[in-house]
Amino acid sequence: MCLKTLQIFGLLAVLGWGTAWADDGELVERVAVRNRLFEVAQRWELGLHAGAPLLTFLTDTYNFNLSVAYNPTEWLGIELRGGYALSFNNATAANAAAEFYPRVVERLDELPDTWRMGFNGLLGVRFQPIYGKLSLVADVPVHFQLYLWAGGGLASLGRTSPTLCLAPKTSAGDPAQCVVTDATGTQVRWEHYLSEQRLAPVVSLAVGLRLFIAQHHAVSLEVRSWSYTDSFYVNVLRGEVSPSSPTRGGQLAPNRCFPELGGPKTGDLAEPTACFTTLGQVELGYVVLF
Amino acid sequence: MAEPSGPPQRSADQASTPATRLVSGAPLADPNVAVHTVEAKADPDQGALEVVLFPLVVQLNGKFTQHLGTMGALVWHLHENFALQITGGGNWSAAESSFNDHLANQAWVQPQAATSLLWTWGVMGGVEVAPVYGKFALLEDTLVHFELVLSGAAGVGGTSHQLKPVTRRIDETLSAASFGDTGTRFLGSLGAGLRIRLGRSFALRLEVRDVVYTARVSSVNGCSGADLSAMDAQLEAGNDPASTPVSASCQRSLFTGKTGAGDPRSTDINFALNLVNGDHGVPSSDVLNNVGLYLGASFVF
Repeated sequence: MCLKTLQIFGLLAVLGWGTAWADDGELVERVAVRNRLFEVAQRWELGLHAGAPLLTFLTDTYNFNLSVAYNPTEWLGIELRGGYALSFNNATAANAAAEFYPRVVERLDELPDTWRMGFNGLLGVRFQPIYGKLSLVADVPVHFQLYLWAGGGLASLGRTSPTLCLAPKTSAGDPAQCVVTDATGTQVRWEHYLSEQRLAPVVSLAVGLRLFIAQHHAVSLEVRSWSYTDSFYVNVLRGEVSPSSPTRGGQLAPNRCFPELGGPKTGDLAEPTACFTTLGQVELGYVVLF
Repeated sequence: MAEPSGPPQRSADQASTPATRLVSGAPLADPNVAVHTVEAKADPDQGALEVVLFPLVVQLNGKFTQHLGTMGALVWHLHENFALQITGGGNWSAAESSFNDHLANQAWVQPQAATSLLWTWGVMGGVEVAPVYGKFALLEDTLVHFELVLSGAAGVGGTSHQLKPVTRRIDETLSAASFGDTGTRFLGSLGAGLRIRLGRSFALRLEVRDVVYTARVSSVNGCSGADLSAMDAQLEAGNDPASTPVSASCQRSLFTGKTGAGDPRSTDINFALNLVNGDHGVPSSDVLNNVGLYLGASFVF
């Protein structure tokens, strides 16, 4: 999972990469983007943002945030944002649960990256050094700002394990409570799986584009990551778990980040380790500037 | 008394003040003047030939696979906003993802063979259009010109699939994963990105391209299901599969003998047979999208 974290951070870094090559330019060139039609310095902002997942693994997350920001200068903004993320185990998780349930396994290692985000709040800094204009086909100039965002905060996290069923079917006589197959198909009864909640610190990075549509209105489009620590259980005695002893015999996976770096990829020989879970989101926003 | 003809005369003080320098064209005090803000392209492209190197191409949608590669492109700008292009290169790292490993090892599930097909090389030809041209200021002093480029192309490429995962030998050392060639496929590509000009001859490119290809694993290393079944039967009978009669396209030598590390290649036969047979003897099929981030630099002739 850490490679995925790097992948998303790499994308953010690359997309936000500034191109600081000077061009002597004519006076007309300099004036073209220095006389800004839309100035944000010393202005407050109120925004509404909706994010959808860029790439999903076991969970899907749709995040909705309200934001308040202040721009001390043209190139710097401070933003407070908070909201709620609708998140759930997706079809891949359900498929894994349905396939794994009938297996005869004495000890069980859970899957990583199953924590989902709920309520969240962030305080961050927006570095917005790039102001530009582009010419669309009809010669309509569009003014934009390109920015990098970094910040942190807190989020309520929850998870439902796709493999740790608390009503295991260990013999033919046990009723199949976790995965039921009937005339309507196969259904995973998530209420019978291990479920946990916690509050955790979150780090968020983003790169984005703001298109000004009027003096007081802008539309934003950004790619944003949300990262928090992962945790899950390994070596659980599958046949002995119950709602009162959901992780019997097991322990938390060791928290070692970046095992992929510096060593051979060992595939199924690697001991499961917990690291960070990173959600990549593409986010659309509407901002009112005062 | 008649007004004097000709342009108004400026005093010597006015002429020496930078704020009063004249530039041709529209009133620059208006920041929304379209003509001078974005239409004056500093470095025209028409007729130019551009050689592009993408030293690093990273797969962005690596759910079941992870690809890293290097690509190159030749772009001939027929018009200021239209060009022909040829792109080619390979993925020097193409493997199943860690997510795939977790699914296989912790949940005992894995995607069907076609879904985890790996893309190894490709050559595509197509067009590129640049409908949007712009410039931006970095802080207050640096001006950068850029174009939004859209591309479409079609071509062919090679594919492979992991056969044997990493395993541990009796002496506790690790045996590397093995891969089998699963044939050539038609490729299609759509892309969008930025082309940032650094003067007359150089540009930086940052593009996202989606390479689409169909996947149906019906042979491995040229060997069909019948070939693999025959070799598997020989192996089961305790014979050397090297003597098994196979079709002309089957590269039997890739399933016989030993690897450089001393591992028997015959262990791949059963893995390959399972790939080709799929579920209930029907090879799996899928349409795959490999969305990659292309980072590169180019020289414009």
